[in-house]
Amino acid sequence: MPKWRVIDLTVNTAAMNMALDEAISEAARTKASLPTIRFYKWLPSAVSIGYFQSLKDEVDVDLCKRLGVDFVRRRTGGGAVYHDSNGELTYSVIAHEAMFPKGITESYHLICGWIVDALGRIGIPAEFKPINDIIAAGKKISGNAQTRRKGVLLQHGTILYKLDVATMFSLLKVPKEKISDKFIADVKQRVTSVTDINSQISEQQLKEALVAAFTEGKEFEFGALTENEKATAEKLVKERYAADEWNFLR
Amino acid sequence: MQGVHTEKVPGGKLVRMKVDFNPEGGLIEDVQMQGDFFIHPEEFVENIEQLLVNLDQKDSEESIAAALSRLIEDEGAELVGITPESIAKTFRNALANAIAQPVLPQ
Repeated sequence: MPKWRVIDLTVNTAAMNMALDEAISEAARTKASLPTIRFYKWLPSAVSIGYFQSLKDEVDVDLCKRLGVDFVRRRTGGGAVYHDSNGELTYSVIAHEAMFPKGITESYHLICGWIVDALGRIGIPAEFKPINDIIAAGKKISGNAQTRRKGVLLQHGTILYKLDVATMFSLLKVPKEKISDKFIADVKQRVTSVTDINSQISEQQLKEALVAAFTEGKEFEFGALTENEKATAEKLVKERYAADEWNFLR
Repeated sequence: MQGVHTEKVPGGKLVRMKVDFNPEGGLIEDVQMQGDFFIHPEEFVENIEQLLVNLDQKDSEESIAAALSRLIEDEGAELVGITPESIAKTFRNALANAIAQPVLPQ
């Protein structure tokens, strides 16, 4: 059974978070690094968009700049996500494809099952909803995205801890006239968060539940980034994730 | 002229097609496919866009979907949340919107 490296919660800029996922994928591909589970947050708060989305169509870039909110294109598909510094936790799972089911949906199901398990540990019943969501009390609480490159699977996703719907939808482009009290009420019918369900649960408790569930039944060690991963990530920040050519690609 | 069309794929994701059409030569000049779907590998989206650019404006939705299916199978790509049929439909609608636009005097 392969041994895993777990990198405990770190806080980074948007460009660095995406660069680290890619740098770790490259190190895992060559087996320079162990298969890795990583937890992180975004500072400043940030919007990430899916690989196939148009930044200009999806995000109010001017407002992001005014508010000091980062924006970045992911190399995974999927939708736009608001990563509130105080409102969500993000994870990545990075390992050789051979360690997962061949089918995309099956592998989503497996990894999302770890999140469902984590939420269960803090008393929140949840379930996987294909294609790539997790729902609790009938509402979305987690979104996930996967890519497979050069034999390495990367899945990252967000678990909502505390919702700020007004900020979320001022940054994501919905026609401004739609952001009424009714619109916000509609969103709250479809999206939830850990504290919406139980306000007593701390972010620390959520993180500990995630670490416990993700490592259940695995041989693992807590580890840090290697110098090589850090250097590769610094390079990727400059060349890709902080560059307009990448972020405004579509 | 640019035509845009967006479809929500039933049980799937959102796909938006932007088609630039030159009425003078009758040529499709550029196609951009956007949305919250997944394609593995991601760069394969460019193969899809290139196929669509090289179509005739009269090609039917069915024949476009069939061409897309062949391309996907030949290249071993995988689509999640979208289908060849939904891509063909969105493209046909975006192209129709581009063609329908009045040519403004220079």
